Amino acid sequence: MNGSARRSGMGLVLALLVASSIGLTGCWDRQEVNDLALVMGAGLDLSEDNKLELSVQIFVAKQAGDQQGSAGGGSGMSSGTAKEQTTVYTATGDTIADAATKLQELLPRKVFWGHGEVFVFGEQLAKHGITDQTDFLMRHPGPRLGAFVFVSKGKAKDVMARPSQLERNISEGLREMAKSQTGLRVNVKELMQMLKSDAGAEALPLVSINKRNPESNQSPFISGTAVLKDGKMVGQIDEYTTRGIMWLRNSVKESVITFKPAGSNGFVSAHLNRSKVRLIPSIRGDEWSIRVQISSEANLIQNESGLDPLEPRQANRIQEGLNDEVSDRIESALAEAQRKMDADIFGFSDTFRRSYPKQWERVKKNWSEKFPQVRVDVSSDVRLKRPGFSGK
Amino acid sequence: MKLLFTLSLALIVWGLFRYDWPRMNAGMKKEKTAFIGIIAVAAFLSILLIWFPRIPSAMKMIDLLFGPLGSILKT
Amino acid sequence: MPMIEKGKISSLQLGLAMYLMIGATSTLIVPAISAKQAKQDMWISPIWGALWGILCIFLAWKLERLYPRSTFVEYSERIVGKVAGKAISFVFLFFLLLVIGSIIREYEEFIILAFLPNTPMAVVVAGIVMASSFAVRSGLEVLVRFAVLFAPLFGLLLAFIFLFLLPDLDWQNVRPVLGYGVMPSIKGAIEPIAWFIEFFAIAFLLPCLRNRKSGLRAGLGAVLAMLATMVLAHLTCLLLFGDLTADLMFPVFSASRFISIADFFSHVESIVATLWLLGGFVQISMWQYALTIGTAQWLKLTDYRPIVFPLGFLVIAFAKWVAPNFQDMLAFFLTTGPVFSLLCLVLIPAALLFIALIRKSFGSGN
Repeated sequence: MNGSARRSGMGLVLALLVASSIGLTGCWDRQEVNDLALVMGAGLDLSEDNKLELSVQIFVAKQAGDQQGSAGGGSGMSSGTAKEQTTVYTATGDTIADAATKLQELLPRKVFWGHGEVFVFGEQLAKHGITDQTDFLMRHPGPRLGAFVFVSKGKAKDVMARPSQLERNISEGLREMAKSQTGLRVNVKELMQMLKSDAGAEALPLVSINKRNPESNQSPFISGTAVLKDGKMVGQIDEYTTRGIMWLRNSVKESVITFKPAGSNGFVSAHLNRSKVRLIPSIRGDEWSIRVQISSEANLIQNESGLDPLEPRQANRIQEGLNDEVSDRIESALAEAQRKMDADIFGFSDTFRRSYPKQWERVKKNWSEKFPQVRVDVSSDVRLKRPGFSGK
Repeated sequence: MKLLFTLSLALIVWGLFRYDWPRMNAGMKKEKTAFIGIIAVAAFLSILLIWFPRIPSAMKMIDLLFGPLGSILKT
Repeated sequence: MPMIEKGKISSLQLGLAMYLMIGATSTLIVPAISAKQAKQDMWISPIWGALWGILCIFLAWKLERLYPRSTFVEYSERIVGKVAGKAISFVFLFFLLLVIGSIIREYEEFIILAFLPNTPMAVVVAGIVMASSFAVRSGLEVLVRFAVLFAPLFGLLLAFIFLFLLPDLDWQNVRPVLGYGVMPSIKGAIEPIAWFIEFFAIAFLLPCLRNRKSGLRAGLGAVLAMLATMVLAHLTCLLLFGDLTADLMFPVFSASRFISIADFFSHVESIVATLWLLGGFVQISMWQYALTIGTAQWLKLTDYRPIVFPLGFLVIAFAKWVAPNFQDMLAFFLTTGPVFSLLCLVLIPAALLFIALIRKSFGSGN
């Protein structure tokens, strides 16, 4: 009696194990890697009839040199050089999600957002407003909050279709450029934070196609900054002033500043790193002001000024010139964003809120009036540390 | 779909009995009663949920009891 | 007093088991809820919660002192008589079913949303419950060994998430600290409190402690560990996401997706989810154990093992019955949930303690 009970017990356990192995493999959600269309980057544009045009760059995990065809309600463009392994597909819909569904119809593989590193908003769409579309980026479990966001001059679709100079595809190229911080570096999380904050303004790096240099094959690069208010693009800022913006946002990693020291005829170029910027707010009565304190170290890399960096007084003049240049850039950034566009892209609102919450609550609703009135004092303390290898 | 679930339910109940019943043979009457009783309740609830998915949930029932207090916290 | 559970556990095992029993799900959604009310002070809210946790540990411990080696079900009958006692215990057991159902549901919703959208809910739930049922059936000593194994992993997981995110954290987000007074952090503490009062469940484990005197220490240690973990989780979300935390459903998980070191160490969310689930497994097993022991004592059975699987079956049904969808479950957590929890975990035990003390002081022995 005992023996047979034992055996049937074992049989049951065995049956259970086999049955559970079917359930445990997650059959319903199995996704083989070669059944996936990996989205490396996506471009979002406003189509002619005010719908959303979604262009995605899909990584194809097979031999390079294959050309993909196109079909039906969208189109596929292939950048056909041998080292390209991506293809761009476009589809139009009422929302990103809708367009993504239409996109899925074109593709034999399942759209997978997990590797999406780059999102580009086309200029028209940016002017129309991006707030609605960003909801998808946060709500859908696929896209990553760490992906970088850009605004493109012209259509995002064109940017996505361009080849990249040195990287495998333009999505990687843009990502690397964002990381090296030649311009602003904004990811989805930061964009959502800007949209949610009381500042009412957002800044995103602006991407243009390089038409200057014919050999570059027209690859896209970061050419400035797009300024948005409440998610709608209201203006753009050039490369020179973008530097100033980056200083104010404390997002300068390293930079090269070229300037003419006072009273000399030649240029000096210095490489700055270890840059730190502090915004110190203060409220005296009705007057709100912020002191911008910049500290950084500089090494000379080119000296045409005739000044001798090893001689203390002349080195001082070089240093002064350096600081003046930094202040100038910041001034120009303030002139553009604060006075001309009335867009708080520097986070002054948060700066005041953190130190003076009670006064801030009173002014919160009228920030767009108060913001241009904030007085900004710049004190730049960049120290010339090393003259480089040459001692002249 | 519902039929499939009901069938698996029957299978589970059968499995439960097969596994445990032999171990309770030493005259543990109380345990046997409890065993059957709980399975009965669980099976009843499951069948209810399979065939009438829209019945008010347990939380809804507690809501009925504590409704007004809960809305205080809704601030 | 007939002890159905023959096993004995050490205070370390008890502490770690309690830590996971309450803490595993706490880090999943609580930061998002505290953030809504407390905003930049959300990391202070768990501190208020911990105070309540200490209260509940104390309640459970004192009751056990008065009625050595008895659990809640046993002494409630002795304090207020057979009928009232059985009624109270029944309510408590129903509460346990609700709790287990909610915990399983939370995990299942998380897994389905993040990883397996097409899998039927029953499969996910049945999978977890089968595993925990086997664990419960093996006895308390086996269960706590799981806890000892997984609890440090769980704690380390959270610490590592925080560490790997350090470069991305903006410490300015905590300002203005208490800038709007202490009320926001208190308002945000409702959820943490609802979690911390679950520590009363230690009442089911204290009787099995090898060294009776160390129960208080173990319980308080667990509360402290959970406090540290919760504060860390809240800080991570606050410093990374700021205001955005309130808009995310599973902020700590989203935070872990953010990790990217030197371009190659990223996409770690699978590891995170796995470790989370291990903690959740222990949590669900522990609560199922409490339910099983409680039911067995309520029915005055001599062995709890036969009813483990039937109760597991019931738990699966409850997991489905608890709420029709995620939003409703969340709404319940925010409103009626804490009220019912407060009733079962604080008010009823406090009342029982009060009555018990009165009875003892009037020398009715018992």
